[in-house]
Amino acid sequence: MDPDAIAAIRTHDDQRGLSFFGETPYVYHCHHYNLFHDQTIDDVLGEERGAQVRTAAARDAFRQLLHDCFTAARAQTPAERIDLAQSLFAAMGHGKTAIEADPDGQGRITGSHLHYGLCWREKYGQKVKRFDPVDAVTAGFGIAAIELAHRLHSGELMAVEKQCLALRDPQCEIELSRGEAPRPAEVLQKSTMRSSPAQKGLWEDQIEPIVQGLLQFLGGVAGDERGLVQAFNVFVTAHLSNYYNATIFEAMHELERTSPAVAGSGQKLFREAGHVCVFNTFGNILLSPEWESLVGPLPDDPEAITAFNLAIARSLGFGHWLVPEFEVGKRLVLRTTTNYEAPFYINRYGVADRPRCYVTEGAALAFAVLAHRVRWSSKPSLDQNFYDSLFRGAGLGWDTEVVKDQARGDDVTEIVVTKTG
Amino acid sequence: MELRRVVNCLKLLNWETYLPEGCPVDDWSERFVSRGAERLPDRMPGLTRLRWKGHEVLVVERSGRVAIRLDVDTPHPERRHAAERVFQMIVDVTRRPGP
Amino acid sequence: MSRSVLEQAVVGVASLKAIFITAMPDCLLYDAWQRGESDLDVSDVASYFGDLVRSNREGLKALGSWSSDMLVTIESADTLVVLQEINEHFVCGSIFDRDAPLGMVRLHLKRMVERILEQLPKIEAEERPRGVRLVEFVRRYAPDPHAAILRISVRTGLTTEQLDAAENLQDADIDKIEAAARRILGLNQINL
Repeated sequence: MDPDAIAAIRTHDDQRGLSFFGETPYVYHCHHYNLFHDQTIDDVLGEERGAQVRTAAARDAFRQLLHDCFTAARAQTPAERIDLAQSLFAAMGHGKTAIEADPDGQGRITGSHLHYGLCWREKYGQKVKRFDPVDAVTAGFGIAAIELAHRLHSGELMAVEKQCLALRDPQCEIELSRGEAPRPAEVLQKSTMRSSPAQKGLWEDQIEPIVQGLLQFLGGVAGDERGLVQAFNVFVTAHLSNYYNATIFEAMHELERTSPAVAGSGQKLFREAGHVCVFNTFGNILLSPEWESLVGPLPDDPEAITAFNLAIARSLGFGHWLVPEFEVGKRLVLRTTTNYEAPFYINRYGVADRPRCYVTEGAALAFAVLAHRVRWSSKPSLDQNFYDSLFRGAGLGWDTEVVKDQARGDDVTEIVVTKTG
Repeated sequence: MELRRVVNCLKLLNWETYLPEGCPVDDWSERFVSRGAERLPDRMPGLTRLRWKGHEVLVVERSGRVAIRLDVDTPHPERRHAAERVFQMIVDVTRRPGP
Repeated sequence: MSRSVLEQAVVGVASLKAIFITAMPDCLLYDAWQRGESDLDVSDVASYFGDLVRSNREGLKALGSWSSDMLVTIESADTLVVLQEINEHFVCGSIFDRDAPLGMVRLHLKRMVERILEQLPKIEAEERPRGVRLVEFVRRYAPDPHAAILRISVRTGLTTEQLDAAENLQDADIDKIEAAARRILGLNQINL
């Protein structure tokens, strides 16, 4: 799929800070977040069930996307559809795949540079050995592509990853066979995403031009010949928020049912995913040559850094994030009139009885920490030691309170971050 | 000129250096292209993107910062040397205008 | 050991890049000093050095060639690493410039170790509960150390408060921790 064809179905809703491929919402996340997210799902559900839930969530999310794509491109034959799916997946930065399947859906998917497998090997491969493959997203995508290419019902194909780069195999190989898979679940679409009218916060004049610059940049970003996007010193994916949401909420609901005593640990992990995201994705964007070209050198100014982070959140498709109140060194209020978590929750499960925007809450805290505790002008190394020094244990120094949550039926989501001690 | 490793979780993939003050980036990029680098499509105003022997080289016009992003297929033990080879080429292009 | 003590111990050793004191047998970082800015993960380095000395010691014992004053010297591309068991409780790992003469390195080491030994605490060996050691092991080696305890918590159903007081746990809970630790660390078994 050439970049022009992708551009034709890609839109960004400036008012809501959301990005779409056709009807399908997507966000940009880097490999740090993606790996942390999937690991957390497996921690909560166990490896076998985790892989099953992740595969099904990816299948459902990609099925919607591919359906829209095939319709837009008028792709009719199985070959056309498979080719288009592979191109789109690679353009999104997930890696180049080769899908081979019989008309009844049995077959295999291979890839030598799949985002999850390759990035796991890069990030953790020298530190720990792994027992289980990591490419459930590719498996789910492949199932969706084959189901739609051969016009099969969803829920009848199973995937088993036989080889994986993360297991030190030379490539990833996923086998597909017929079997009883989880039933398809409804996913969120552009037209079913509820949001409140956009509001203006602090520093809007500063934020908006940066958002436009970043959107222009991201519009031209596509996978390289291996289907990888290496930008901002990280590996980036355009990923489907339906995948993230379906997996997080499934895992949290199950944890609350089966081990309520440790549901708090699960919440903390998903909030931590927000820290991981902001520290790595946002931090690496700020320190990147791309950012320096667009905005200039970084000041050691908490207000400027927070404004930059809001601009990044909006352009990555996280929603319309704003800061209505900010007191340097004391308090930060993050408000979202739209974010990518709450609409999914409401749509699938109805109004929540507790806060559910975990990643947004974690990101709010990370905004305060990055604004106040990092000397950006010194171009710090965003490594594990630095992360630990900022976010681990008692040294954190900031606390969050979710005052409003759209998943609970409030008009906006609002998180108050306060300096402690 | 000095080669500096950008420390993050990607093992030795990202490096950077700075062009000497006053070095015109357009002219420098042209010279690099004449020495075998390939110019990549611009994604951001003020940011020149080049590829040399599979490695990406980005130059920030406003500061002369040069980011080296090594090909991810470069084996780990060879990455430092690969970065040094790219750096050596950058130094060479800077100091010796001719091909 | 206070920072100034380790800094004083290395005064005048220009070819020294870093020094790590690792507490044995748990291979935990006791103290470290590095020259200037560095991207090293000192806890990682300290624990790996401890493991290296331990396996080296066992290997030499198997060969019948072990002596308590052994030095492990590693010559890498740009550094010279010397590991030494300075007493039964501590390992000292010193990283020198690659081109530092070996004779001078040994001389510097002798002097530094004498200074350091004067400051090290006297340790009474303590047999700590297995649960505590397992939790520490995961904290030290887990891929995302900041999330390690939370990961064990959701995998085992034990709260973080219970894990922080792992000495009070029953055997069945400790087995759960070990199973979670093996998964997180990719180990078939954990030998503590």
